[in-house]
Amino acid sequence: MKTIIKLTSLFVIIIFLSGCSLSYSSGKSNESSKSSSNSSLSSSDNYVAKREYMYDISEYAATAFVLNLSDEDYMIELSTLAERHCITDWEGDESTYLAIGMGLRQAGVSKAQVLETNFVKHVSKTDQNKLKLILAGYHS
Amino acid sequence: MISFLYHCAHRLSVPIMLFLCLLMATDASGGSNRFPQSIQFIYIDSNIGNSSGGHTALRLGDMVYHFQVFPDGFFRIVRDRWSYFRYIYNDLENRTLNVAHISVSAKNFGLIQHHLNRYYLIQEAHMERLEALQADEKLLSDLVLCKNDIMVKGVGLFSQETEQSSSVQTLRSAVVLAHGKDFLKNGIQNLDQELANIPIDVTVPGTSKISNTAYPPTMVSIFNQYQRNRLKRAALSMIQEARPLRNDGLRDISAIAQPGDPSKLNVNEQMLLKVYARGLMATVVRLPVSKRPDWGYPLLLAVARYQAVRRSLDENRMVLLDAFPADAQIVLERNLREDPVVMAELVDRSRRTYLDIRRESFTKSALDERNYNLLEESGGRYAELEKGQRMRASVRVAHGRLIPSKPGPVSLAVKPVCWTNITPRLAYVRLARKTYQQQLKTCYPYDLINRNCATELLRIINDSFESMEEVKHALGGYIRPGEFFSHIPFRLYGLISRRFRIKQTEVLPSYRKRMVARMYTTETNATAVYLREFNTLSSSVYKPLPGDSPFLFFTDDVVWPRPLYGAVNTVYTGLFSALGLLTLPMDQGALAQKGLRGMLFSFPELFFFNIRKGSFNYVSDRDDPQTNALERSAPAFNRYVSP
Repeated sequence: MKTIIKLTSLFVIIIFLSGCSLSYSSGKSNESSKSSSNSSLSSSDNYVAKREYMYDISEYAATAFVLNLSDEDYMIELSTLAERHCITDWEGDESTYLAIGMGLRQAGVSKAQVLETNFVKHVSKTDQNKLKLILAGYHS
Repeated sequence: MISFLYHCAHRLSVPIMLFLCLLMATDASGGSNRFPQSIQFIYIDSNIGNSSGGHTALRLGDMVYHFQVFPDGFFRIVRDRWSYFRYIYNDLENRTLNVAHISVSAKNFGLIQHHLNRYYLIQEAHMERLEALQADEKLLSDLVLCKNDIMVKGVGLFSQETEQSSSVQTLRSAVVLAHGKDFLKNGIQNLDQELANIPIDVTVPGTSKISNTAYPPTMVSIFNQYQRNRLKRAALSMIQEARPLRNDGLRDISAIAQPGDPSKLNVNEQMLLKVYARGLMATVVRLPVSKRPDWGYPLLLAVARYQAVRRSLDENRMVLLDAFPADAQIVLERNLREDPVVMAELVDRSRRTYLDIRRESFTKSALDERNYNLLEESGGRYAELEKGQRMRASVRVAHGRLIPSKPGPVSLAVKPVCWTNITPRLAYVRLARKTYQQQLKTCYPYDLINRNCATELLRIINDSFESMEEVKHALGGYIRPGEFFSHIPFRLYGLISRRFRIKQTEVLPSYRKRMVARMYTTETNATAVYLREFNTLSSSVYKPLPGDSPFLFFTDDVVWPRPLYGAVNTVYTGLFSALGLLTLPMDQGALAQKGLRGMLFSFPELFFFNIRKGSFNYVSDRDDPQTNALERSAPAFNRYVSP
């Protein structure tokens, strides 16, 4: 019965010739766009772009916590991610630190564990204001 | 089967479409406080080109997630903003979108969103690692051939001239003041020494099994290490040598100002740019002593931006860095000339977008990298299209966001290594790259039935939860990927509509259907509208495009006449094929192929199936606020770009 179902569905799909969408933005090349998403460039983009950036950074912070990355590896990965959002100087962008705090909170990391994270330890050594931002994000 | 055929055909009949234009919504379950949010399952109906069997997507808030086949064979999740997604599928590809709103709790909405984003981040991290391996392979191949230069991003923004830039001299003074007079010289020497000490260790991707649910471990890449080192060195050298920007790397937006547009900077713009320049100077002083291992590119970009901002202030004009990537696609001038009206509209749109962004950016209390980059991107797109129109030149187009990154060569010659000894390492890297690529192929595979856009979307929804019971509780039902023909997009939509907790369903008619429906409401003679719009020869909405293959009658908005129209389409396309046989020696079979393709898509119409709907390169529905502000130049030329 299963074989009949599969053959029938194969026939239906063959009628439709192909199943899934080819990438539109990279239809002519092997490279996909490096952007975090396809953009809708508009004057309201700044707010949306910042929200999307913070969302990805917090998601990354939660993921990276589990991996226990060294602060150097952490920063390299963070740079790659930030650049997809067209942010090169993520150190100078307060939303980076707020988002990291938010991500750690969402991942269920305790405050004590936050302070023990390699990257947070690195930040606390270099800039107390940034540590405050991480904690502000954590408590938001 | 008959009922299914009838169902498909019936959905698309003209009176129903008119009704659907009012965005028919049926409330099946009513609102509920327990499930205040909704995720939207979208079924995109078929058309020729790609996804002829339809497509599926999931919308959460403003973001749409869907799976696409990429040219390299990977089957990847893609994130698009809703406005962009709608413009591509609903407008340009002229497909009707059927949307089922599934009621979920705020917690489960967050869970699914988290799972989708996590999957996306993991996938992108995998692709980054593959690219790193490819870069290593290319680097070692070049070194074996004694090519000691590598191309690194951002270096191409700077001129090779020896004449110094006064703006960069100012930056140099600030760096020297902060870090001492030998800081730059010592920094460059240290980086050269560091390069010499980077071992040519081949990249090891790790032996653990690659999974699309686990973030991949970090990978040591020779190319990335060299690139980081050389970028830092290049940035310090540019400051030390006070290197100016290349003239062709700048866009003078004031030079193309239309009557009524600002050609000079106003007082507020001047003030904010001065503050931004001071911020950039502080960045240039801070980055060389930053602990982040990759401060080279941001420093290089800050130096370039500082020069552009200073030039804007000195000349009282808006001058921005060119943000197009080096591999931007090119639209030839002859293609631009094909439709001058569309070209003029694209120029006008990009101009308005740029002016909106400029106005919005300078109403804030300060500029930051995010909104300055929006200025660069919007100004760059406008300048490019305007140049194409005014000078009758080819133009560059690029999808996604743009950031100035023009690459340039840097030398590795300082590294005292006998490159001929690296051939065995090259072989190892090549093997590692192939192995990793193969592993990724099994991780992100495409299969017409078992792993397609419908099965993977369903799988990712289900995997957001611990158990089948949790899925049922969260969504109101459970469907196993592939069961009950759920690998077919329209079938999955039907199953979801019946089994899940549906708050409402919604149909967004394709662009042509919307336009024709609007004509029925605005024009008095409905018969005249029908007779004009039911065929491709007199349609005022649709103009035949090369990728659509020839056809005479639209069959997506009729039911009972469909086989008859299909028969006419078959004969019509058959004539093309016959004519194609005569022109075979001249066109190498192009016309015959077109005709055969047309016949292939006419054939299902004989049995009430419709696939072909026609498509567009550019549309502008000014009454549609969702897509009104969208960037359209890249999609407009998708069929004409090269390479």
